[in-house]
Amino acid sequence: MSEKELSSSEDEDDGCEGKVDVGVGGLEKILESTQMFDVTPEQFALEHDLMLTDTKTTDNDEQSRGRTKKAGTTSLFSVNLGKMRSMRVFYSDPECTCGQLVIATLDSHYKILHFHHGGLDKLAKIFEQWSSIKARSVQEVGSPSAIADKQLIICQPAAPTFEKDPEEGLFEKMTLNEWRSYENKAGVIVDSSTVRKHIHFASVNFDMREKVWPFLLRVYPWESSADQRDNIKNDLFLEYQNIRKKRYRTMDNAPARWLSIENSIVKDVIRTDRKNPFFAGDNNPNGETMKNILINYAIMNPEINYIQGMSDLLAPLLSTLNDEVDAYFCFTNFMKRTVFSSTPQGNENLMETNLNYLRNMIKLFEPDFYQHLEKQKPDAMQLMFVHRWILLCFKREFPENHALHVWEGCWAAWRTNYFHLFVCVAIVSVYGKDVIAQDLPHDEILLYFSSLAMHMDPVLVLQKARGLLYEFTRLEKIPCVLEGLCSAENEQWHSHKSFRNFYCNQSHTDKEVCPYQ
Amino acid sequence: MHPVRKRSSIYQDVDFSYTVMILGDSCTGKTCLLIRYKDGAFLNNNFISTVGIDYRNKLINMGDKKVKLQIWDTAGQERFRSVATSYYRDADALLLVYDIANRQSFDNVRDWLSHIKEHGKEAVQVTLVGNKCDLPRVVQADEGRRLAEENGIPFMETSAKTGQNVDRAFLGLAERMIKMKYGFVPGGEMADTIAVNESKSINLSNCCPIT
Repeated sequence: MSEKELSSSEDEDDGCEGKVDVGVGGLEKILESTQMFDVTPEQFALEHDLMLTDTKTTDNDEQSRGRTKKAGTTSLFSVNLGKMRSMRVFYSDPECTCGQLVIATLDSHYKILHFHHGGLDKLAKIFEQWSSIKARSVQEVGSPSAIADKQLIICQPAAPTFEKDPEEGLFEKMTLNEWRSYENKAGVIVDSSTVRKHIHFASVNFDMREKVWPFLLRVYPWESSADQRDNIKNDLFLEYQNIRKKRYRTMDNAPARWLSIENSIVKDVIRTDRKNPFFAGDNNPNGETMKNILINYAIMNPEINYIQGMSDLLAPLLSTLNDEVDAYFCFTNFMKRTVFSSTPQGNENLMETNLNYLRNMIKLFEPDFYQHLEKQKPDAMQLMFVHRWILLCFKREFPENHALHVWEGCWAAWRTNYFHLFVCVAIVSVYGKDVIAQDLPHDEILLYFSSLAMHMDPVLVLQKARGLLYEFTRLEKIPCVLEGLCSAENEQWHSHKSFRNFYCNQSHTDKEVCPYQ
Repeated sequence: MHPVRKRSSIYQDVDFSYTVMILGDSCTGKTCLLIRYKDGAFLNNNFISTVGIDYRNKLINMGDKKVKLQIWDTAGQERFRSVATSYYRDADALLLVYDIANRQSFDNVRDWLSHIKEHGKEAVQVTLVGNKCDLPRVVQADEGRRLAEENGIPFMETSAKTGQNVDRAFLGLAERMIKMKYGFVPGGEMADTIAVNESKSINLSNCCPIT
């Protein structure tokens, strides 16, 4: 998004200090529009053809355009403008007509309205006029209510025009034919780098997941031939039988401990992805399979054991691969990439590593947001609003199909093993401006982002994340604390940047010595 | 108690503001208690495990005073407990929940209590809650009551499903926090905190020093 997009909120900020700037439209225009307050919202809506029709009950073209006035077919969304804290418009198209309207009430409830077919700009204009009138009335006769009016913020950011990766849009979701084109006669993926790049930009078609995920999760090496993969599959099947045997032995040796672990696994299995038909219903055998995989994982990784959230990450693997052995090994490798694989004995807390990277990435890419966090209590730097994003890899932030595209983007590990952190920064970048505009304290930042869950634009966020990664790879100098962010895939850096320059950004603990200082 | 923020919200003119944390084993109904209290609804057949940390604000009137409760819902991610520890530190009150239909969740209450002693505020108000009292019980009410008495904390049985005692559990916490600080409860005490079907009086002297 451009820097200038917040102009209307800046007007509001001026208003806070008493310098009311009417801004949009002249005085006549405002006086003219005050007349709309003489009628009820329903009357106004009828007169101006703004009634919302329930599309489920109307099939007539005329009706669906909102011209019906029949009782029973209309549904009104009404909201008391005086009882709100902010309204924010997010445009999703370059024409600035479609997008989302996010309304926050004073007690931090959020209502998100989607405008898929235009009209948002017109509504935004009305709100802006209303806001100006209100600001004027406050200035002239004082605030009529105890509620401070200055908190109502109507922002109209322009459609995002951030820097995109130049290769953005070159790829389509990968199909079977395209996958085949990457294989040689023996079934070897010759150029795995290009495949991962393809998936990074466009992910894979729904029906390709079963085939591609075991590669992305390194169960099958890219360079393996079809024959070798058959052998690997057989070996893994046998290995899994041994894991099963080990499980029975282990559980027999310490029955109380394992019964308790099994209990906590079962508690979560029965409430994981129940809306997915694959897991729906009581006594669904797939639930039993999920339980077995999680117990086996805990048996084989006793230092990690079972942690809530694992079932959420396993469920899509199991329902996609529909095979216990495949799902187990994909899950095991998936866990290696997540914060779940931190062990209490290990020296490294992976969550803390991630948060530390993220803090520095926000500082680098979104300095205003970082400053806002710095103003809050120290707890704000815990970045609580991202914990669930990282733990469940955005599974509860986007509808599942989109969340799985995010997973694929992360698993592709194109240029970085921390793509999920670029997604975090992208969300902050696209949706975080409102946090600053509303001056939300650290606890309400959490509430704000959790209200946006399932309402964010996944395509936009991913595009932004790729743009940020591209930007990062082109930086002349990188803060030393982010040295490890893209270290994994050196061969993919731009050829003209054979080595990276780092500088010390002074965010070390006292004891650490920075080689770049 | 935290200083009330000067912000434009319905919370700007509250008289008291407290942080409450709901703790307990997984699947004891912590989120359901919160949703029942906040919205008066029960999450039937739509349940999902809590991951990360979440909270809701609830505004209550006590006499002529407005009290804001910021209620934090926690998850069972022991591994990331360091995250929650700072919230223990800040919490004015804790609702420690077990499931009366699950023996293990009750057995773990002692672990939770020692964890609270270690990480919680010294003056933190703890209430022991036996949830799911709509289900066939495995843990007798007397067991819960005895454990609470041993630890000098109030006890009640609730049902997030029927709503039984849910308001009283939270209201009781608010009353005790205010009473501890100011020595009286505006509007008089409404929630007798020991509540297992029948009401019982309790000696609050050990948790309500008059300041």
